[in-house]
Amino acid sequence: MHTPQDIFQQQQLIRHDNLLWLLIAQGVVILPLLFQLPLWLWLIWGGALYWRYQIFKGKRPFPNSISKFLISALAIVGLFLNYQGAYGVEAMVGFLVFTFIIKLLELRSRKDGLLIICIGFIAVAAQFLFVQSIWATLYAAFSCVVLITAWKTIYVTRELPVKQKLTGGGLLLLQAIPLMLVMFVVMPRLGPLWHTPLLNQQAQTGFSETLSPGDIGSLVQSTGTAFRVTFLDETTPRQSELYWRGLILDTFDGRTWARQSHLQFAGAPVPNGASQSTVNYEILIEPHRYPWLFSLAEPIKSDTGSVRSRITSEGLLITREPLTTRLQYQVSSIRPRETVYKALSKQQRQQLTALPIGFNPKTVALAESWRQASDSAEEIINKALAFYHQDFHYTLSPPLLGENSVDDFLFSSKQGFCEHFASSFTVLMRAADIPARVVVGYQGGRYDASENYWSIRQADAHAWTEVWLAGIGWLRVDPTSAVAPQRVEQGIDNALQADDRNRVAAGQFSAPQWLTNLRHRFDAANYLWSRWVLSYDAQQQSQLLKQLFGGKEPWRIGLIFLLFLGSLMGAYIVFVIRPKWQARTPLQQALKTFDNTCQQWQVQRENSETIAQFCLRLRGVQPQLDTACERLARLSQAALYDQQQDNQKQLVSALKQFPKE
Amino acid sequence: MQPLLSELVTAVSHVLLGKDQQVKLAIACLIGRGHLLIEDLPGMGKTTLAHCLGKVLGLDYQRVQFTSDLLPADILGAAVFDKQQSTFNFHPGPIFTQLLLADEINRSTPKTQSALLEAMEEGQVSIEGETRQLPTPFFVIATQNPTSQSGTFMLPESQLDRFLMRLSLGYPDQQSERLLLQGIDPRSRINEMQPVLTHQQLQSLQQQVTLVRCSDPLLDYLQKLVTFTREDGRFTYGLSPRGALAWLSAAKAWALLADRDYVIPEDIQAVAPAVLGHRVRGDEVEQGHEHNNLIDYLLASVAVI
Amino acid sequence: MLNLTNRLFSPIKVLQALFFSWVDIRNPVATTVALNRRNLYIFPSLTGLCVFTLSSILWLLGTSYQNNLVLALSYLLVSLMMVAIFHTYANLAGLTIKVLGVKPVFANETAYFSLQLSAAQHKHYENLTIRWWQGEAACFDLQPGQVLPIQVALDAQKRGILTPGKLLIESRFPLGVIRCWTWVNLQTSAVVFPRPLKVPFPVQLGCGNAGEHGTGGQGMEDFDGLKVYRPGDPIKHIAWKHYAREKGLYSKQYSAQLHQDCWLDWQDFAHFEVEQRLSAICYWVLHFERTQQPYGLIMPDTQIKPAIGEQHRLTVLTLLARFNLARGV
Repeated sequence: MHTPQDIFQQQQLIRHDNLLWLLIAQGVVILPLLFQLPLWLWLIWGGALYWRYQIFKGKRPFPNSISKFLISALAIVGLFLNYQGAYGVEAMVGFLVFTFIIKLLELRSRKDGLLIICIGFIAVAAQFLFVQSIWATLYAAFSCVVLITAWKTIYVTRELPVKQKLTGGGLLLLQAIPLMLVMFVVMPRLGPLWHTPLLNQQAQTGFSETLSPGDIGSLVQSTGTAFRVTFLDETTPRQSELYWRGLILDTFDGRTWARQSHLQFAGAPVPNGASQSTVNYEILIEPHRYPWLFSLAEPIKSDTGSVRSRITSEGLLITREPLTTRLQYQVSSIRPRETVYKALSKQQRQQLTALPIGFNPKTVALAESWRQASDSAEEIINKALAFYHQDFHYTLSPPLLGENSVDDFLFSSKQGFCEHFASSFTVLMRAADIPARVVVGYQGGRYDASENYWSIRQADAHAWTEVWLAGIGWLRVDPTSAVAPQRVEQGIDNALQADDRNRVAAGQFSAPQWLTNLRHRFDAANYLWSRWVLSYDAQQQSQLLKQLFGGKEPWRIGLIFLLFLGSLMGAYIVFVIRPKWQARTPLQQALKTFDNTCQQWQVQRENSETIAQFCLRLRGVQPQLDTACERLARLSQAALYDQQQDNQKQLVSALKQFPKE
Repeated sequence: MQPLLSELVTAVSHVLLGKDQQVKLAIACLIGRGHLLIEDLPGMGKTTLAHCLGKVLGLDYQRVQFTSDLLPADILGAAVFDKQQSTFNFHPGPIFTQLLLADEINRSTPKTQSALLEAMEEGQVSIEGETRQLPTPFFVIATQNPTSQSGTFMLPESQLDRFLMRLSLGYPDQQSERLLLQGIDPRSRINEMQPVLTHQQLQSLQQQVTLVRCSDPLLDYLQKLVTFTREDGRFTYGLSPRGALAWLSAAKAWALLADRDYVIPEDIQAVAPAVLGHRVRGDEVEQGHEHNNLIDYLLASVAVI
Repeated sequence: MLNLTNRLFSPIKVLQALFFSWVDIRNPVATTVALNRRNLYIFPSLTGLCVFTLSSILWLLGTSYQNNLVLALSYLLVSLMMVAIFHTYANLAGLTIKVLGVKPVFANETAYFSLQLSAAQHKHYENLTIRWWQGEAACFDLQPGQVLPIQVALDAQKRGILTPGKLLIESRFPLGVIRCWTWVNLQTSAVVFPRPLKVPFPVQLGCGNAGEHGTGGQGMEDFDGLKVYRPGDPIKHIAWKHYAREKGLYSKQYSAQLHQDCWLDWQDFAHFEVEQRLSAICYWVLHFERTQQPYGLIMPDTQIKPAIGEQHRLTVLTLLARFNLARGV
């Protein structure tokens, strides 16, 4: 009586094709994770697969609890050693993947299969903690198709070709996506609920907290986007005005610039009230694991959403925690000229003119000579810029500098990249007793006309100087522009010689045009992806909901869901029920009407009754219908079975017009 | 046509009291060129009906009592040696008649049964290499005891199929029985009966049956019914195409009896028990269903329109 | 229902009874039931609850890390469950269940109720489970338009009429997160014959050598007399001696030897209690059928004349099965 299928059903065992699908799904899901995790997990996976295959072949039993315990203990120790006990996301994901793999060895019932599927979904989520690009998402979608297929296979007992199974899984996913999108858009967003462990493996990108000669030169050789900017006003600043300030370095040890040990969290500069022409822009920054954000001088207002941040007295935007997630923030800046700066205190002035004693004597001497020959600070600055303009050379591969790096640069090599110019210029100013500091950030960027945004790449990294002029305040001076004005006006790819250019952004700038175009398109897509999907938050949500539905009150959201369900129902009626109705012949429709009419007369036509037979019966019950019944009986026989003349239409109308109660 | 046919029915009903439906079915069977199987207990009037029909149709009539040791030659006839002329003379068996009453057909061996049934199908018999034509028209009215009586050989399905209809007469109602008891012996009435039809009239009637029209909705209905017998789980096997054809021609004959030249679903339904009773077989499920009768179940399950 | 009231002391049982009484109102007893939205019930299964929990976990993860893609994945799971509702429903809707019947069984045997499932056109039905309320489950698939006769087993525990109660048809396809099911009230019942109980035959019954084969076989026939020959009478039955004496053509008539009839009398088994008496009679019915010996039955209220054969056996056994049953059971 019991087929093997029944037995499998009753004991809820995993069937073989089912097992295969689960293995495939697991492989697909953990593959991207394995690249992020210790290599020995590959071995464990391979071993588990082999063992499970042996079990399937019947050559080996399922592991007993002791061996399971031993394997688990070993793996936990392994993970502990690997991460040195660091309590972080990687370790947790590592443990997840490990359990996932080991679960294979106890995979025998349908319940285990479901557990595998569930862990699979968690693994897909874990993958998103590491990468969130479009590609990763597409891969995750593929993983979901495979997972759903494997999931469905648990409940399908008939044999199906692989393609059909995958199509089934994909279809299920496709059908689920609309509702998912609606939920994604309208479900309320909350801020982070608790402090979450961070990914510790991920490298910091961009510049570091210090600046030595060659630092930026090597940074511009790396690929990648630092952040993307959309200007919210109609007029956007010129490219040469786009100095994205990130970090201010104000102490010099003769070679390396660094910042003071503590950042001053003080009040922001105050606008002078003369003009209020602010620049408003929105920045979407990639996580670089430093606490600074980028802005144009001088930021007066910022909105960083759920991330806590403030504007320092130096006009910098700083977050509380290092930036570990992609962040979208809005800044309003005013032009430095329109700002009132508090005068420097004596201590500050001392600090901003300090130089290490005994280094770079020639430079100090030169600055001293300028100071004595000049009346004002502006004159000294002009002299210095003119000095640079003479015979300096802007290159990505300057010769190495000695102990007195500024002296070597200014008087012998005369070749350098922006950090050389900024560093030497600042030293010159300080030597001339003008407070000055080095600013590190990005300059310029690539404008994407199609999506109207600026893409600022690592290749756009830059360093420049800010000097303090009494009565005016901080003034930005970029000595690089004195040497290579194209750098500022047209971007780095136009300012360098051909062999240097090949090194910028790992040679991306000298790639063929079509590749560059493609890369730009992809960058635009990534931008849209990041901006609308990855950084969709409570704020964007309320904006969008306001735009679309005029608010985000619960009743509106409920209404949206109802509308969504209603449209589904409507589609069901239009595409499923109506065709069925329309497939019926006029006669069938008329009969249905007639049967409904007769229900009013409390007589129901039996399945096996012809119209004539029924009319006879009806006449017996309701004598007043005598004539109508007789006519209908005659007509039905003539129209349906005699068919001497075509009077089906008459029958249809007679059925429809049968007297009602 | 109606007067002639109604006269026929009246004449037979006069003898076989209270069995109008069965009489009409029997006549429909004969004008539909089919053979008739009557299944009933002894003494219910099987023979009377057969005899009566033979009389009114003006046909020659022979009766064969089937027993377990009856041989094919007993029915078909045999060549007998004539001493005087030293030749074999063929002595035709009782089958060489226009109306044959095969009594208790299921008492004989399958061999004998099949000899008869083959003759029924072909309209001719082959004896000792010589094919002899049977007279026309040729009807067989067979009677059969109810199943499960001991010492019977059930007719196999393939042979039952040769009979267009299977009827069972059943007990007469009170009134008819009283009339029967009061009246004269039916047998003497039969002897007094005069043929109602001539051979030509019978043939023209048979011809008319084939001319009865069937509309598309009606054929749809018939096909739905036939398909149902093939698909529904209660039927062990479905109706064969030959069975479907038989059903239609019986319905046509029935329509003609009602003086119509087209078939209506009521005709199909009316002849269904007689035509299908021996053709379909259901699961031997004793109970657990409201339609214990398979045919009722079939008719109730299939929508007419 | 009887069974239920006996141990009606856990809340789940009470709920179930309430649910069933509601189902009874909605689904009247019928022989043919088509599944549609009126008689199908849908609720998340335990697996569904787990998946929902998983979705919540992912939601927490996504919210903590402000990771929109993880949030989207969490919503995807919820959305999949919603979609599964339709799929699971569609996997049962349009199915027609019809009672074909059931063969009688003996007590302590398993009754197999024959049902017929007809699939709607253009639709596969995957992995359906079917069982009587207290019976064992069976699984099956259906092709589009397929008509599938299946047998659903139920143990027949005692003699009488076995009414199987409600029929459960259930589907969890495609993801197992949603359970769609129906309780169908089918009009069918099986006759459960008493379980045969081997007891010695009561001697006082005049059945001769009961238990042995009757001597009268098929071939042994007695000469009964002569009758006038009619065409078609077998030639070898012709009484040639009479014909030679020119007394006319006669056929010899034979009649089969009559078996000695056995009577199974209710009173003869008086030393047993009721059920055992029925079982004992049942045993002897089967015995006589095996030995081809006609038998009759005398019960306190009825009497069946001696005969033999399948029909007779059924009549007798059914009478035994129905003996003294309380009305309405």
